[in-house]
Amino acid sequence: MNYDELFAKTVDTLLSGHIICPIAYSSLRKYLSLDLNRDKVNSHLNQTGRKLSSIEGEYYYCSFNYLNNSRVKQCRDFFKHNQEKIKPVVGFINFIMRTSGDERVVDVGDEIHINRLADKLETDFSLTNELEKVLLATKKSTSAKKNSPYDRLMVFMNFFEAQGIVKKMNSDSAIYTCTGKLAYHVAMIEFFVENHSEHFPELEDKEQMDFEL
Amino acid sequence: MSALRKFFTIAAKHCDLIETISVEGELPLNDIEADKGFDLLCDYGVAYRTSQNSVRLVSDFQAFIDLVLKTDSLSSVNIDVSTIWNRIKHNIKAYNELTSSGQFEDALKSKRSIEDSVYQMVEGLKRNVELLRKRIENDFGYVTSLSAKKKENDLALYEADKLISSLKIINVEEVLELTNGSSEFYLLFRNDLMNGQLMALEGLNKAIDVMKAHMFRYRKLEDRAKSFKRFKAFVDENVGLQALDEAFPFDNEVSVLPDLLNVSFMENLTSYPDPDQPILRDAYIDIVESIQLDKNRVEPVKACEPSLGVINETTSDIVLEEPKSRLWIEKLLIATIECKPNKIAVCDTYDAMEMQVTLHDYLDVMYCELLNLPSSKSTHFEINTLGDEHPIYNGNFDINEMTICCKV
Repeated sequence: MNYDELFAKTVDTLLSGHIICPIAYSSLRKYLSLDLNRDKVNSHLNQTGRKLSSIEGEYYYCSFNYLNNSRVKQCRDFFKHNQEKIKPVVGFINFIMRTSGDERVVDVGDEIHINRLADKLETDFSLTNELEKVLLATKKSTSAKKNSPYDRLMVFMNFFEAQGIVKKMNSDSAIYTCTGKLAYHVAMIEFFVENHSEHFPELEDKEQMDFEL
Repeated sequence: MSALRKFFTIAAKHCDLIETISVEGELPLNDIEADKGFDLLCDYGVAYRTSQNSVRLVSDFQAFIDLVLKTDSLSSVNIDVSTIWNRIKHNIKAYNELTSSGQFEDALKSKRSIEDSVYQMVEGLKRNVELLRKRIENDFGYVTSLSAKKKENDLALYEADKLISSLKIINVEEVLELTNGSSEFYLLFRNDLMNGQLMALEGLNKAIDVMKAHMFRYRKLEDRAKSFKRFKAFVDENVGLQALDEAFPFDNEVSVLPDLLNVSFMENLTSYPDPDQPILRDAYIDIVESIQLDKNRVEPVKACEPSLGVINETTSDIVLEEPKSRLWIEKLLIATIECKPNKIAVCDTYDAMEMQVTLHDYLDVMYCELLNLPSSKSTHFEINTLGDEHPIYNGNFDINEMTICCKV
């Protein structure tokens, strides 16, 4: 049968709730870089009451193009359901920022080198505590408490790999790369802080000037 | 042996020392005295002794090393356009005087100096622009922090602006007039110098545009980092999920609901597990233990503890659960399904397993593993072992050793 395989894969991937980014779905992301292809996909999704949405025009996902009471309820439910997921992601971002010493929020395409993280864990005990806090939030803290820091780190990374937040570039590699799923969570965080600022504590001036994590 | 070959031979012999001085800037004379023959390099004029009893490389030689090794030591130093420009004009005047006085040999030397200066200017400008672009394209390659990158970008912007201003001093018409429209210099000035100036201007303007865009991105990254920190502070202060509920009220906010929340992410929760990565028993127990049921919809667990079916290890007899408790378990499973969005998601931990285990697999394991009941007693689910069939699931085999069916 003659059909547009990339188009079909792109639509299937979007409808199954995945985020298309250069890391997780590079060929599909390349496909969507053309206006013509984006229009084709969007037009198809429109017929199902959905549309092609993006985070910063870089990472694509599928959203609904209408809002009624039923959708609003589903969105509310979705957010409540997602609250549990955001906490470990916040812990993940903070842990990676602390270990890398970088002020930037970890971004799509950033590499996470397991061996470097393990080295840091061995020399900085506070990072081990930080790791355990995140594992607690992921509910992965009970199964392997007696394991080495490296094993705990692998439990940590495996969890976020299962979440689709990071991806191993190949099965033998000890390097993970952040995906568009992380960008989704970060965009969500930014949206809420920007639009519901009153709920979030203001940073002190010193913290703003000297952004040390 | 040619003089150049001889020089490079000597330089190669003292390569380590030259590299050390190049990196350190200077070396005490005492450290060099042991290196016999280094004086020869001083004789060549590539190094010299200072009054502080140290040795330095002459700046032109240092620049040559930086150029060859593509080091960044000069990246923050712009080419001195005005000095070269004045030298060109000075040599043109000298050339004119020497030519008119019939000193053609010296005039040729001045002509060579003019040409050298023009190409030095063109190459220098090209290198400056390249270094600038290298710093831009390398993004966070030279620095790790956002603030350091912003400072670097600010400095690069300042240097680019300064270079653009200094380029204005180059006036091709002026030098053409000085040479009285001599055809000997026409192409040199009109083509090489003018093109070099225009290309440098174009390159610098492009670099400035990119840098300004980057500054916008850095500000955005900075804002993102601040937002993240505020959000993290909020999460740290509010351990329970209820606090987040209060922070994100949805009522009456339909009009501002972004695509980010109006997503179709929860459509596919019943994919089959990856056969290469089955979830094993311990992982299932973890999942089951982490379940947080809606207390308003199910009865307390202790209400049926005495009547749970268990395998009596000493007699191998099976103690069956009472009908009332069995019904409660079924109710519990169904209630668990119903209390979540879309009547699909069982619990947050189940959702966290995305795509790795089916809902029915999950519920069956809850039924059999957590409650340790014979699967045959389930109204909705049925579990059979693979291979030799055993009528009772004893809770000691992995998911890949059993088949699960739905009793429809």
